[in-house]
Amino acid sequence: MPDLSPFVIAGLCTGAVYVLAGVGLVVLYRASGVLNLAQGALGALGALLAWQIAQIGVPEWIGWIAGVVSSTALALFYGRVIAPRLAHSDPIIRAVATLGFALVVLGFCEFFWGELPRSMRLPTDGIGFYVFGVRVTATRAIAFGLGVAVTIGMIVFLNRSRLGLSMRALANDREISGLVGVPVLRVDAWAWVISGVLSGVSGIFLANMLKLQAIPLTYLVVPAVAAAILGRLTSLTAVVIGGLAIGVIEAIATPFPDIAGYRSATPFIFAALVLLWYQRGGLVLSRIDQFRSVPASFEAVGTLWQQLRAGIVVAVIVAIALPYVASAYWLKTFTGVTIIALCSLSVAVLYARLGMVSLCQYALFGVGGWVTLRLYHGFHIPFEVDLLAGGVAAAIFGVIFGLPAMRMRGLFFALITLMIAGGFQVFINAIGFPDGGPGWSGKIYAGARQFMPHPPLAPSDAAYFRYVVVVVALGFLLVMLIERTRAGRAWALIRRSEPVAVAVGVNIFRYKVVAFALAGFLAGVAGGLMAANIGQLDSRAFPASESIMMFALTVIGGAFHWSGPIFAGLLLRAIPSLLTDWHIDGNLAIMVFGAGLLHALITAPQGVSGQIVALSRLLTTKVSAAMPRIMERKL
Amino acid sequence: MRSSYFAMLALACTGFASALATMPAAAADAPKCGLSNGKAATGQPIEIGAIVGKTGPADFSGSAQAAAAYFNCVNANGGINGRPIRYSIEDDQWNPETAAQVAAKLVNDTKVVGMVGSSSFVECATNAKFYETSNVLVIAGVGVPRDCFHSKNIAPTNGGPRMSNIGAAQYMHDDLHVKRLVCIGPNIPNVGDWSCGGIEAYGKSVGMDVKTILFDPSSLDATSLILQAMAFKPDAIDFNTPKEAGIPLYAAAEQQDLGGKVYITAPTSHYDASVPKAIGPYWSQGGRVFIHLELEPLDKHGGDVDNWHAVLDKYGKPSDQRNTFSQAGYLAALAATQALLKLDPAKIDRASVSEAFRNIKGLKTDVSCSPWYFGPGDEHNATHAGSVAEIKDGAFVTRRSCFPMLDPEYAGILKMEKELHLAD
Repeated sequence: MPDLSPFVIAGLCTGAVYVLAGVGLVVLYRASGVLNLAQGALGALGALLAWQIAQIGVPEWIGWIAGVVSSTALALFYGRVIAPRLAHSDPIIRAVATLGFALVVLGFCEFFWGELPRSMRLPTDGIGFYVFGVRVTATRAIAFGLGVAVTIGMIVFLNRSRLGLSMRALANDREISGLVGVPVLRVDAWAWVISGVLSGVSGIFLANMLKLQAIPLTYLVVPAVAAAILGRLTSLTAVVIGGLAIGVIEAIATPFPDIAGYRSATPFIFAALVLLWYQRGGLVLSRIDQFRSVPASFEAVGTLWQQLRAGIVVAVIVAIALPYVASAYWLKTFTGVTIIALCSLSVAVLYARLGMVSLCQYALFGVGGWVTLRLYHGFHIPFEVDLLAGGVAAAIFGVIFGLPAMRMRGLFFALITLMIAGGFQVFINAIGFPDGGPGWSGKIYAGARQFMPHPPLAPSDAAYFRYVVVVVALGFLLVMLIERTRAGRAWALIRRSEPVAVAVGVNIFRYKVVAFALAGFLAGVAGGLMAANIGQLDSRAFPASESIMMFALTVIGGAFHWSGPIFAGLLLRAIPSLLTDWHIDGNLAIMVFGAGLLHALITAPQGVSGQIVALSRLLTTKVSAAMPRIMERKL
Repeated sequence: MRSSYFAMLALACTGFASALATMPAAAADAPKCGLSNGKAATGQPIEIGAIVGKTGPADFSGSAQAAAAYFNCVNANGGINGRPIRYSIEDDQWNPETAAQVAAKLVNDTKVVGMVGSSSFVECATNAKFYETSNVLVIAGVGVPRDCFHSKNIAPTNGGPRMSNIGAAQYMHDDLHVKRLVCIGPNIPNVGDWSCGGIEAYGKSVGMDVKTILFDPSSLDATSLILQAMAFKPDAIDFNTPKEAGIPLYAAAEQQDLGGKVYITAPTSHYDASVPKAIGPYWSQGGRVFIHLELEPLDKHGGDVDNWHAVLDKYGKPSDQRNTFSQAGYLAALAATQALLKLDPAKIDRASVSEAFRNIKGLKTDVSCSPWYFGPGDEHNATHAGSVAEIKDGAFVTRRSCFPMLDPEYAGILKMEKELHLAD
């Protein structure tokens, strides 16, 4: 047994990082009900600005102040200008919107500063003391103290001061708070100011303790959410305990070689277990946890054929025509678009039918791809069998991942799936995707890497595009058929009201399992199709943020109509390809993407497809209303 | 000259847009490239492509920037016997899906005759097979994962992380008498395990104890890694990472006050003027950090190194990176140009270019210690000699020049090289 005491100390030092990042999240969530995923990005901007100012010879402290002020100003801007427009959306939509803001800030930082080796030095770095043979710098001690001090200060502030009490009222119920005279906008603004100051200060400390790079600082928010989950996003004391616990567990795994490579999954496993523990008693449905805004205006209407014909016509025309007109680049892109549409459909099934937000569908996409590749390389059985097996494997994982949802919904279910996506990122990085090697992982370490070609039925890129269109169309058909069975009717009731569904004897467990299996299957098949499109998959393409983007773009595309996932596919693959084709800086593209996400969430809650369907219905009504008059005139 | 060059570099790094902007190094001679006849080429363009990882965790576009500058210079100097080179650089954004798309664009839409100066973490693994079936040859500027060195149609001009880490370990063993060494590398299959594995194999052959620690690249806990490394009681630690990912390791080692207790060494990715500044005076004072160079030192004088500076000064952008990877791109463009010049300008197509690239051998330049060749077979690693520089007073000082890296698994390549006279 190795001596663990140095690792405990190192873990407490890392824990201070999680505490600092987590406290800021909880403060804003308690004060305004928004889970601010842009917290890290704002901190990164502040830290980079502080660094830049010190570089031109201005005293460091001026840089620090400028950094904190700019983080605060941006937070206030978001809180005052953008957040109110989403105040009546679900907590998860409000959280996803902050991701849009995070992308804008991140793209700006990357465009302006790029990823280069830099370091944020603080005067306290040189001072240190030894505990169990580990040197602890004064910076870390101060950061830790600061986290604790902010926690205590905020607890007192929220419980004692008039402003603090108003914030709690507002977070609990905006409308009633407004009715009883709480100055909603002013209180909200203060909450964002406090959050901005915290993000700026912690950004400078985190840049010092981790690295002064915008990408890691921005996505630090995902493990920080894990720390905050111990306190159900609301308890500040629990964030401190959770952050430190995660830091220590992660560190003491270091001397054990079998698990050391996976130890950065600690925050996600920790948070997932905590959530499971919390929901052991029964359905967790707090006021803030309820799902409010699933519109029901695009219920299935008409016969299956009436629903299908437009889709079939589009699929046939595209499948035949596109390979004749598109270049190799765009053919590859549109194959990607079609595949991603299937993955988006899997998100849409859960969101539109059951009202569940799953942020791990892109991880299931990876599972399906992994199994398909493993079977292909291992046994050389026909691709179609590999593909189905990949879908089934992802369906099984989908059900396992969905089990917590039997008793949980809303924001906390979304968060548990986010933790799963975070854990998947760590594991798939360590395992890699199979490429013809031996052993269970199928990774090749000697000799050239093997590729999975397009299936024999469709050897060329053009044929494979048509192949993908057919498979994806079958996926859409499967969903529509299941919607028309008993399961589909049960979903509709569960979405409206779970208690009512229970009361009339619907087996909620069974129909949720069906939904998760179906969603997992679709994502898995999409993953297998993608593997055959590229010939292999790469673990670096599966960060947790991709799963969040998959959900966000599904919402933008519109989850309530069959065309929505196709718009999502276009937005996720064709728009970036267009920007790449035009040689627009990839970082500018990230900014455009983030802004587009915000715009869509604010202006089009039913997505692009919702707008188009509404428009076509409007036109049909107008035209059919106008028709008799036109006919009359002619006569 | 050297210190002023780095002082200028440091100054330029403070620039707001701050890529690795450098002030023009004093270049006495006009750049030489291609036919060097001063006449702009006006014929039908020859399509050449490159794929780089620009947007993402690190900017890997320096190699293609240098190649672009060189091709600009060629085009201003008679081109390929009158025909200019049209050089298309695509950004794979560190994403394999994008890498496959842009490869389809270059190979099938643009119809490039060859690829030169590519540099990416994901591109080789994604497109190796596609290049093979399309009969496109790639003179890559910078190969990182194992796939870049173990594919039929890809041959990088750099040495690769495995070679570079072995070179670093050799210096530790031979010159600093290190007995125990820890290699810290990213837990990415065919990257960290492959390159740290090289040190392990070398260590075994000379009786040096080597321990590998692989870490998840998204890990935030550098202190534990350093503690874990120190539990092995090493004389030296190798930070086998891209330069950006190495900075937290230096910081954690500084916090544990390891300066003077262990040597730090790293592969060529850390040979960049931004590194001494980012790691601060604690590590850059001297005697503590030793970096391996796959190609020649930036402050070397004469021949191609001066010409490389001159080409970048005149035909590059002020923001172009100047480091080993930039030299690798220059070398790739130079190799390609020489091969193309031997062809009948009317008969330059994919087949003739692929044959010409494949037959490049014995290319001796001053940016590389070993002659470069493409070579037959599935394994390509022509650059297998390098140097080591110490970080001293915030700059790099070369300590050992041009020694061969001793990879025990490299016997096959050396044998083939000898039999086919590839390096002659």
